[in-house]
Amino acid sequence: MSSPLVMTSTLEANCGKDINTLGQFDDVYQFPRHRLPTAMKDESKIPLIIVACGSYSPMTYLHLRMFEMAQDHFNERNEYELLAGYYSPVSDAYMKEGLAKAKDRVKMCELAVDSTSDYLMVDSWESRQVTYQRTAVVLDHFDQELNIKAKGIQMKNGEMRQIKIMLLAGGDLIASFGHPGVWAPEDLHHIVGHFGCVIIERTGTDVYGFLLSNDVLYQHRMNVIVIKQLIHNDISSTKIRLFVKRGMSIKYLLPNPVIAYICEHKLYSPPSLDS
Amino acid sequence: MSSPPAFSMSTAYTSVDLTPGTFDDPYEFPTQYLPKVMKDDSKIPLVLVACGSFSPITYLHLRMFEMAQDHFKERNEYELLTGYYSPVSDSYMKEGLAMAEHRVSMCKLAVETTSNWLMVDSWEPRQKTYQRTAVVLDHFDNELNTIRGGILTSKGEKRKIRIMLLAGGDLIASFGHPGVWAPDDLHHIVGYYGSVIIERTGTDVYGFLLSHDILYQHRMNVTVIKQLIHNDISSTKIRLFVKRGMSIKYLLPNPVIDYIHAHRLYLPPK
Repeated sequence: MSSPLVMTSTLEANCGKDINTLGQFDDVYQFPRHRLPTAMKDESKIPLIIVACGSYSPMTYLHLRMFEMAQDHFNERNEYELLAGYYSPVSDAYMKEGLAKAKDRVKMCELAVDSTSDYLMVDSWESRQVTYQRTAVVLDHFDQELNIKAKGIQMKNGEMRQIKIMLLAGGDLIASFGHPGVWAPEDLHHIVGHFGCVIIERTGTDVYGFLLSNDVLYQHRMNVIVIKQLIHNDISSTKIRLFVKRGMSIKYLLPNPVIAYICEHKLYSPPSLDS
Repeated sequence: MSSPPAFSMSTAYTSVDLTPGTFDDPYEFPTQYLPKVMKDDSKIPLVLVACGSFSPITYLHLRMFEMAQDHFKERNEYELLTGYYSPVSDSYMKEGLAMAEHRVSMCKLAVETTSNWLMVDSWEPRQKTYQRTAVVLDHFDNELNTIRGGILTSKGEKRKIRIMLLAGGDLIASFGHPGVWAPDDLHHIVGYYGSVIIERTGTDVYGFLLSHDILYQHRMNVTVIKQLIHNDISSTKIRLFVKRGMSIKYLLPNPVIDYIHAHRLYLPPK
């Protein structure tokens, strides 16, 4: 486990006391636990939580499929018991092109998981921060909430067991690990070494080849799980935004409640001249 | 936004009936989403028919119609009235085909819970022998134009409805396989009716049209729509995932997933 001293200082340095300084959110922040089980099904396994960071502008069926693939993977094996999954939408401070407001992105993620899932949740901590939070810090936040504050998950004999936390990543995130200057080496060590990474490998990419070539990833390869994406289902949020802008249908690419939200709030439409 | 108002998935879903449709009920050609009057008389009224196994129907099959709808909305030639799925009959004897009644039920669940303009026609799957696509299109022509006289213009005149086959790249590629399609049928399907082809990214439909004599001859009747989002949800893979106990969530509508589990479709033999 990471030294509590390191974690709290990083967290305090970055977020300050007022969690809703962006003023968008109507409600006070609360770490979601409603789909987190209170007991393990199989105590011989390591309890696991997966966190998926991203823009989610908007969330798509591909994002939802990633967790299904991860769930299948861990169900088939005996090492980890996947307890639940979290989406952590990036804050607006990331200033990426196409980012709808944090409050809207969080709401769309919530609509998606609430209407379709029984083990996924949306955490809005990262999105409520005034400054961009590095992924390593976001994972520390989950560690803080799940393992320090709540002390992990309770066993039948009353003992508390720490929950393993891993980052869920698509191939594009992993490829960015190789771009010089994007990721601080200490962060990579922290993310892959201290936590761990579940990578969904797109058909046609060669994740194992990349692991071999990247020093930090190779060093922690035991903590890297690669899941092959067997159905080529590349629903990109960028394309969805484009389709909305051009008035094209986005049906069957993301859940209907999210489509309705996009319509209602006129997200991704070009500024209207006439209707 | 071109998509219709979103459905409340939870209420639509809980009222859904998962019992298989049986073919004990008499056949009726569905018309509930067939408009009686055209919106724009200056256009040609069009109905698209998608033939296939649909074992099971997937989001890709549903997307095909959305893409077609976008395509025709943007242009001024045709007014797309509605679309039909026509599942193949069991006598096609293809590997992985669930019983016709199940496939029809699954298609109906899919369109009823997610769409408000698509229908499922069960004429073809009720037939005891395999019906060639050309014959299936003739059936639609018969129902829409001969029996019902087509559609009315705003002036009250009857106008014949144009019928086209909606197809993915694999169907079109099969046109090139010797012995699969009778040349007369190809002339009938592409020349007399017409074809809307959804082009998978990476395939070269135009190149194929150039190389195939009959398709080239009727190229004015062939509409190619580029699939901009690479979303290859194959029914074959879905059946495989079910067999291996893997999740098929988010690849097809939830009511269809529940139907598959309720009727234990695609599981390995015990």
